[in-house]
Amino acid sequence: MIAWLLLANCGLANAATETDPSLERSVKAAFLYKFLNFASWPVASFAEPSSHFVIGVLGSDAIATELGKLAADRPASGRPVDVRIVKRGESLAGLHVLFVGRAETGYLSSLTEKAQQQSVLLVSESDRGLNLGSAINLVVVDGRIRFDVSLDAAERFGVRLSSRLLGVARSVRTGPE
Amino acid sequence: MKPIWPQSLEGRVVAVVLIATFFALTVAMAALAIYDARAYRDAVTADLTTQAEILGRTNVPALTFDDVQAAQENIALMRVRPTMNSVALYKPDGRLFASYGRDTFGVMPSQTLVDSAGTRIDGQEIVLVQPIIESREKVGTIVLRASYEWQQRLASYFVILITVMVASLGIALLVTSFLQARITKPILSITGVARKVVDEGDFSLRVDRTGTREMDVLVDAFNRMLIEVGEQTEALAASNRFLESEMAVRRRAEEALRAADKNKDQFLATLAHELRNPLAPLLNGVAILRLPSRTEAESAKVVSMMERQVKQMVRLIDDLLDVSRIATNKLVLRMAPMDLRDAANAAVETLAPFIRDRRHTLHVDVPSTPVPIIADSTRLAQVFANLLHNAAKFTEPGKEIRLTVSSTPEGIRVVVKDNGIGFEPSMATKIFQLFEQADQSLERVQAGLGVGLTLARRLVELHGGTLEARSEGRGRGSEFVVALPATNPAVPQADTAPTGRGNQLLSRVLIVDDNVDFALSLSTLIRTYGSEVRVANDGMDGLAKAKEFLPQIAFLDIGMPKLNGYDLARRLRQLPGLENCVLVAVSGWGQAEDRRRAQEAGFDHHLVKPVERDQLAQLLGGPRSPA
Repeated sequence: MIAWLLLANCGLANAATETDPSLERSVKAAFLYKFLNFASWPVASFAEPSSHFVIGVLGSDAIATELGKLAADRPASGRPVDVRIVKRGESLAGLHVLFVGRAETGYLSSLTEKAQQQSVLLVSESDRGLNLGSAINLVVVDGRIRFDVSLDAAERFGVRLSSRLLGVARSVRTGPE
Repeated sequence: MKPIWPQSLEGRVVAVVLIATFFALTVAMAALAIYDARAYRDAVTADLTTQAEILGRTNVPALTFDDVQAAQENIALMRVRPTMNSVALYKPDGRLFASYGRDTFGVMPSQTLVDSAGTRIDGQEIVLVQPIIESREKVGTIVLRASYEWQQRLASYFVILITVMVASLGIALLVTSFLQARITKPILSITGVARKVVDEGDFSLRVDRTGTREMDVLVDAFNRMLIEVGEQTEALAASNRFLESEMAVRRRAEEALRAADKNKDQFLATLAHELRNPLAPLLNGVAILRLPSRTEAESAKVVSMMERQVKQMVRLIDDLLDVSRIATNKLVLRMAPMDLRDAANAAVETLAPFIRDRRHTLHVDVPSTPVPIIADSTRLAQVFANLLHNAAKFTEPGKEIRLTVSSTPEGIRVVVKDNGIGFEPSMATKIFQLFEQADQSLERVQAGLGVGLTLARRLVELHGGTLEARSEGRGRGSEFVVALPATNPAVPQADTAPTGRGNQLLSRVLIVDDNVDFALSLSTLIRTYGSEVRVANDGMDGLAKAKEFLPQIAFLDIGMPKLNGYDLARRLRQLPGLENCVLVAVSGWGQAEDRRRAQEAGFDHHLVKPVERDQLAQLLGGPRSPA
């Protein structure tokens, strides 16, 4: 367990290189996992108090795999975390976070309505991500993974983001662009 | 240690208070310092822990999302805390994530970070290492280094201690100075009184009570001691005073005795001289009478001269005896109603030959009517005679002497005035003292025993009167004034006045005396009255002669061989036929005691040698002899 932790942290610590796509993926997976701690969902999002967090990954199986490894036996905010690979057109029901890979960026805008209904936090990794409707958009700055936040979008999704999270965001967008 | 302690009590009280204050303060400050050091450390630790907690918590997102810049900005806020020297954030793997402050931080092995969690003091700094936990997951470690200024704190504590100490000691000194009087004042008051007592010797001083129990015990004890010492000192002083006055009295008595002794020596010398004086003419007279060729006229002249000399001696000795009686209060006056003029005339008669010899002119001025008085006529005559004799003696021949008798309702005055040598007024009372003479020089014209005036004054006083001497000064004459009360107070009558048996002459007379000459002379004298006289020269002989002769009157000497006068008198009284015999004791002793013993032995009368013819005549019932 400790060895794994060290490994995970090592991965995060070394997240400063574009030349290593696997590292980038693992850092992004870690970010996805950690967003759970800095966001809160409506009570209705959980069937019962012990219900699992479910993170859906669309268009990036590598990250899903990475996230699956990371979240196994590692609950966030007291809830076990499940990872689900989502295909285009699949229902978003039961999801709490949906990561939309770069490959599926174009499909992002079509997901927003469903996400708003299901209170699913949409996270993207495209420069146009926020514009396309995601609440958090992961970017690489100076070889480091950073993220931008759209409070407006998050509000629409019904997810409240912690101010502490906003404190470390690269930029926080409060109104519609 | 001695020189350090103050000498005075106040100083010591103050010193004790200051020392106690000093130690109490030191201990209190030390305790306070220790407490404060702990509190300071705890406070600093708590503060640091809180800071670490807040900083850690704040940096959780930065650590989580690897935002170095945010972390840097967060910890840079510590610049508002000057005591915070440096802050470092480590990733869980030991990599330095962000730092602030002067210290440089390197990579720390994560195991070291885990092990060194907690606080430790590192010289002037306190170091806190604390893991940052978020959702039960360690996201990093925060290291804080803050100033831990215990030395400055200690130093400032020391400054405070010194300041407080000085202030406290100052206040203690002030307060003690005011309050110490409550303790020291009673002691000082005792000390003060004690010093005063020692200095002034005044034991009447007392110390006031103070209200402190122990001090009051001391004060009471001290006061009691003072009272006791005072009393003893007073007693000692009183006994000293008593002894001093006793000494003075004794010294005075001694001086008086010495003076009296001196007077007595003087008197004895004078007495010897005066007694010897008549002896030369007497011896001359005896020699003349033995001369076969003497004429009858010569003999008569010599005999009269001898009689005068003898009378002078008798007078002298009589005076002495009288003085002795007065001195022992045994002189008895035979008081009887009389005419004072008789006494005056008797004195003038007695002294007339002497005054003639001195070629004085005597003026006698007496009232023509009787001057009645109750007195002892013989003694009064003696007084006047003494005064006249004195005047005649101490006045140069050929002057005037005046005797004046005057009677007033207040009393009788008899004045003897002369224009003789007189005396200093200061001597007015002294000349009446026994054996005193105004002129003590050897060249004095007239000698005397110095008893005449004393005797005169005492006799006058016995009559209830006074005798005073006056003189204008030496060489200006003198005046002696006798003042007698008009009617004297009743004076007891004399007990044994010699009385004769009517006018009948006692014809059988027995004389018993071992002094053959006296017996012979007395018998010759008595025979002149026509009585038959027998003489015996001792007691036994006298007894035998009395049995045979049956005398009507017997003159018995007291001191005799074989049978003394008293015993002889008792034996005679028991003889038949002698019950009515008049027994007359004749002795040289005329004291009251002698008279009393004579009376007890059965004597009717007591005569003192030499026996005057008048007395004889009275006793024998014969006619009074011419003066």
